[in-house]
Amino acid sequence: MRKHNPFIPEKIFISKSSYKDDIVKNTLKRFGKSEIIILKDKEKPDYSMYKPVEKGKKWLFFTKNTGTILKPCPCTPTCISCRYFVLNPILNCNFDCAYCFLQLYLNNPVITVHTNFTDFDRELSSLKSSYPGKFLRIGSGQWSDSLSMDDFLDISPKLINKFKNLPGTILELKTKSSMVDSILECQKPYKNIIISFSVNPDTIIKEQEYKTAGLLERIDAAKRCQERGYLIGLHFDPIIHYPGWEEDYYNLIKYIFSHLEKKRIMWISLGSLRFAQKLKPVIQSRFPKNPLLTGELIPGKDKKLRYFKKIRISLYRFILNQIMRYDKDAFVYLCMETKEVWEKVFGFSLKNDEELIFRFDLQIDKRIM
Amino acid sequence: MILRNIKIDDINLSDYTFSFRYPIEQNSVFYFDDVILSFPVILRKVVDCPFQIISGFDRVDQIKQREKDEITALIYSKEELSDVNAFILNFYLEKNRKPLNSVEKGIIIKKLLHYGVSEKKMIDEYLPLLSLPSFKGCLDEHLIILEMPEDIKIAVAGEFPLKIAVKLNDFKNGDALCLFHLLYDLKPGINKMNEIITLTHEISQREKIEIKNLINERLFYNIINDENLSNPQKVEKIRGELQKRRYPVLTKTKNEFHETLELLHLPPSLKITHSPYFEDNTVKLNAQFSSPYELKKLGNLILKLSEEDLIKKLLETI
Repeated sequence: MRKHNPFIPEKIFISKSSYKDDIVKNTLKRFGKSEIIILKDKEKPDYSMYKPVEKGKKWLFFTKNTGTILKPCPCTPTCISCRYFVLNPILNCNFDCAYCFLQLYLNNPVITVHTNFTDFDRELSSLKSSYPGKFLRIGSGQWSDSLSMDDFLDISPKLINKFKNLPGTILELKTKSSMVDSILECQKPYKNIIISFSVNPDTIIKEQEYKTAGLLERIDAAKRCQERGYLIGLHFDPIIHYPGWEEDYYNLIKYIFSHLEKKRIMWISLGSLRFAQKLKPVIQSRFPKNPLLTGELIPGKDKKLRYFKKIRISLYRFILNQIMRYDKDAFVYLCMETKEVWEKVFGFSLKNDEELIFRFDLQIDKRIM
Repeated sequence: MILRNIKIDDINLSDYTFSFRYPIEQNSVFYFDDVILSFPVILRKVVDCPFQIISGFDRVDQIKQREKDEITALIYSKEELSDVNAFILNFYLEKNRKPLNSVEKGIIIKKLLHYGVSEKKMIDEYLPLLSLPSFKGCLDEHLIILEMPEDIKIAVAGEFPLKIAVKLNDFKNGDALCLFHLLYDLKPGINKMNEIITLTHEISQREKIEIKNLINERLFYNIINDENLSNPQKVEKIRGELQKRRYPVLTKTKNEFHETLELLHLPPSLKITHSPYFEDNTVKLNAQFSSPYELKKLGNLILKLSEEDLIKKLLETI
């Protein structure tokens, strides 16, 4: 079993106005030996003398978010969107997945914790009024791993506390770690809190998802969440095409369904490897021997590099068929895919985003209402 | 500092401490005797050693070739002119005399760093003097080139792109040289050079073969040595073959699509095309006509086509 690498920040930067926040105090108690630098508000850590991605993952910066806290998931143009919303308590991640878009995306590469991460009441009520009668699905795993630093930040329990029993709202905590203790210690499980795990064959985890927990650790953590009463989600994302992928994904799915209770799986997403073209040189330079880029990647309609359509379809069909062998009622959806691919994989065509959102609402109704 | 005539034999002609000329053997500027007289070389006196040339390697060479035994020189002592100042003096004089090639710039950077100039000063002050952009990557690229095989260095001192040479540095020596010779001989543009490097690298990584073995395969060997093909034609053929090998599923789909399309025997006024990279599940039909009669004829043909099994097959290929 492989536990994920514990995070020990080399330097901790704190904006003056965040200094007295509990989350900062707890972190300083834990990492007394790290160098601590107090910055003026609006001042940012200076990483100009270093390689930004490498250094950014070793430094921690506490500050207040002065912008929007709850944002629509950017998805990608030309694809079917599931109208997901993302919270950003943390920007950047202590894990180091070779394919991660954050290597390119963030203006400030330092792992940034927003100490006011729960101040989104007004934004949430505005969202709810924009989508009356609809479930809002909100996740904190877009800009960082939701749980990987919970051992000292303890963000998830606070988010759970905020969302618990909030009608019409689902909070999804997404992780590649096995750090679920703080969630399991919560008073009780809540129906509208989904703990989700990214899954991949162990060969891919070892080769591409540096510093994350191994597959067995993740599935064990997922099992513990189910046993505690939580619904879990599974994200086959990114699915990688490589020699031997069929056997590895076959075994992965077999392992998942022999260890997890299928009725307590809320949803399963499938998404194949995709990334902005500008990320390619970053991956090449940071991981020169990594075989990730040798797949048949072509520019898709959104100009992102993704596997040639026939390959994507064969990946999805195979994995979908394997899942269906174990659970015919599983709720499986494609992440960031075109309606052409949806049609070829599922045999039905989604006319627009609303159709997918309707299916999500039905699933939520079925599982938790 | 004094001005005096010095015997050529008293000058150490093999001391290149303050030179950055690359390649050493290159056509130098011709100097008339009178010019050499009024434009003295600069030497440095080192105790118990022959004179070191600080500036004027070409002039000393030419005087020697003309079998003269003396040259007019400005002479500094070591106390008057330290190593770093002597090098900077030569650098300033030379950079205004002739354009510097990328290897020479690399040598200058390396020597200045060796003399203790800080990296920051090098980036902020010296790179602009060398007409280079002020960033560390640029400094590193010029240092990398100095470590490369002589063939590549000589090419970079000429017209071979530095960026491509630096890219080749990521490969094993044998692979780098093989790719270099291919690109140097065929001389494609820089974008095509980049593409060929990327394709060969990714194929070699996926198939776990060495790049030199890939390029030496009979298929590529035959293209490279085909006397009936021009260089641009060879480049296109090589690119095409590499593309096929790098993207086998895409290539197979393209072939199936075009083979089926050919079997439909469409007239030139009717064209069926697929979307870029076959991302759509649809194809486009383009019809050209200049009269209602032609339109009717095409309409009938399209109706007939809709009943053909080959159309179904064509749609299945995508």
